Amino acid sequence: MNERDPSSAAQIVGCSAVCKRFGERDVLRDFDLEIERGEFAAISGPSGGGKSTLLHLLAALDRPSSGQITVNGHDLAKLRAVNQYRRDDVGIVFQLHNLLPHMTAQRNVELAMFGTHRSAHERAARAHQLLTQLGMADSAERTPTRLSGGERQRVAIARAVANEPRLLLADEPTGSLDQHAADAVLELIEGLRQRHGTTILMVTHDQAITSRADRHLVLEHGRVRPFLNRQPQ
Amino acid sequence: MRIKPLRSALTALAVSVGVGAGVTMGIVTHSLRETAVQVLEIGNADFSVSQKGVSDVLNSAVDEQELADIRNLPQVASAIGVYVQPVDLDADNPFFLRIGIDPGSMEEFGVQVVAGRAFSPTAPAEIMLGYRAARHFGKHVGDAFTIEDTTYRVVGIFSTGQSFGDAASMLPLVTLQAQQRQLGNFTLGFVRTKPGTDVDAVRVTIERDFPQLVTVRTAEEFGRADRNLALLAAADNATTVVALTLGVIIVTNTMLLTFTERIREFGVLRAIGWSRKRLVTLVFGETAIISLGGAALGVGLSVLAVQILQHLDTLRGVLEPAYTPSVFGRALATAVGIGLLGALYPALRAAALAPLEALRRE
Repeated sequence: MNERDPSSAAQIVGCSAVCKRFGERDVLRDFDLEIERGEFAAISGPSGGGKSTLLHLLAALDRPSSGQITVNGHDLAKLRAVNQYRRDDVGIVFQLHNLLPHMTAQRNVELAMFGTHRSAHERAARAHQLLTQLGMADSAERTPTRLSGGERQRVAIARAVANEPRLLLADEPTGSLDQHAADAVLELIEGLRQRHGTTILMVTHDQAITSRADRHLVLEHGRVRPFLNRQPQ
Repeated sequence: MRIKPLRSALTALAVSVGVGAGVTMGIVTHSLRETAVQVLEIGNADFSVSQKGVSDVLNSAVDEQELADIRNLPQVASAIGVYVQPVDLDADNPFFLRIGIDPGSMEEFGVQVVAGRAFSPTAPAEIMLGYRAARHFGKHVGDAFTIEDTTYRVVGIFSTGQSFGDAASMLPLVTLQAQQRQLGNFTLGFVRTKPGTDVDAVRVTIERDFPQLVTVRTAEEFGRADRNLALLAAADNATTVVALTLGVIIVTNTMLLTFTERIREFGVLRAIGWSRKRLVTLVFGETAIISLGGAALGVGLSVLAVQILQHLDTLRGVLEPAYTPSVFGRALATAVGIGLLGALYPALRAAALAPLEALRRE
């Protein structure tokens, strides 16, 4: 991945005049965004406002119709090693976990590390370490069907951060959780940020979360509207 | 496979039936060919001559005059005619060979008398036993030996240096021809060429000058002289093709069904950085486990089937199964073929998946 742009060391995400069109409908229109390293940005907005689309674009799961996106110095339009980028540079937590139902929690986390320099033993140790950090050591050998919603989301987070990505994208990670579980997940994500300096971009409608973010952005009709700003911790 | 273990097991079972059928046919064909070829190898010759187009080489009829003409070819050193007739002695000895031969040709034929003497050229009730047959039946020189209500006196014990021949018997040629009402006919001719002769050129000459005859030099050529064996070999090949085709269809169907159910899983894997190559490897790997498991089971089934076939009245004593490396190689090759072809389409579809589209699937 030699498409890095070293000029913007403090900025990890840069979107410039990004448009995303599905048929006749503009989901993102001339969208601009900059996120600094270590920042915790929360995005909210009405359904269909482009929140999930933005995460998908940043995770290189989709391509913009026009405009430029850079993440961690990579111009995503010129990215050749897409798999490596998805694996090493970004971690993504889906709203519905997207864990593999027939695999144990431990195995689900290990899957994210296939293709890295880590040996099978190292992958297992790393997955166990992460699950332990997330209070899941006793549930590591359970399959997702035998885990609670909060536990599943913790496994999904462990999988997302297994390769120590610079950017963690989370799509309503607490959306399906009760308040207690949601608080626990948020604690975990903030803990990761404090320990590793991970940048967090989280789609959420939870006011308790948006109030804890450095920046709260509202996406409406494909455009961003700043709601609240704070300095990165 | 972990999602639907029963489906995987049933697919492996289907593969095992296909592989097992192919392997069983292979073992049977190979064994019958080996048994038949051993008859030809008794003669210590460069090649054998038999009637063209017969269903069973032991039904072949080569005319005395034809063999005499072959013997007169300038490149031919000797051409010995023998009359071969199998006989069902009892349940334990259903395929005992009687070889009618002129005692004057025995040395040329590679027969060594190791005890007693050779029979007289026209003796009606003298017989020689191969040393294995003598040991098997507990007979010695001077003992009586009965075949189909005719009692012979064992006048000698012989060795041919070939196990199948050493388990047979020999009688005067004319005695056996007369018994079978086949005077002047041989079953097979065994031809030896002069040193330095191009053996294949002699064969071409014989087959050109005697279009009703066929020559056989190697085991692979035996189908030219024995139509049954040629048909069996063809059936063997057809079974392999059918087994392969059915196996591929079944495995493809299973993997496609699994693929459809796992689209979201593949999407997740692509989203967390799995390459297309790794997904393809995953699909091929799972198919390989099913196919190889099926092949292992198929080999077990075929061994069982051959054991059963061996005890059928029609095959007892004829079918001596040989579990050669090629038998297992064939099973492996069939399984690999099924695995590769069966996984190809599902693997390509998995590789072509756009992760976001896959993640949207329910």
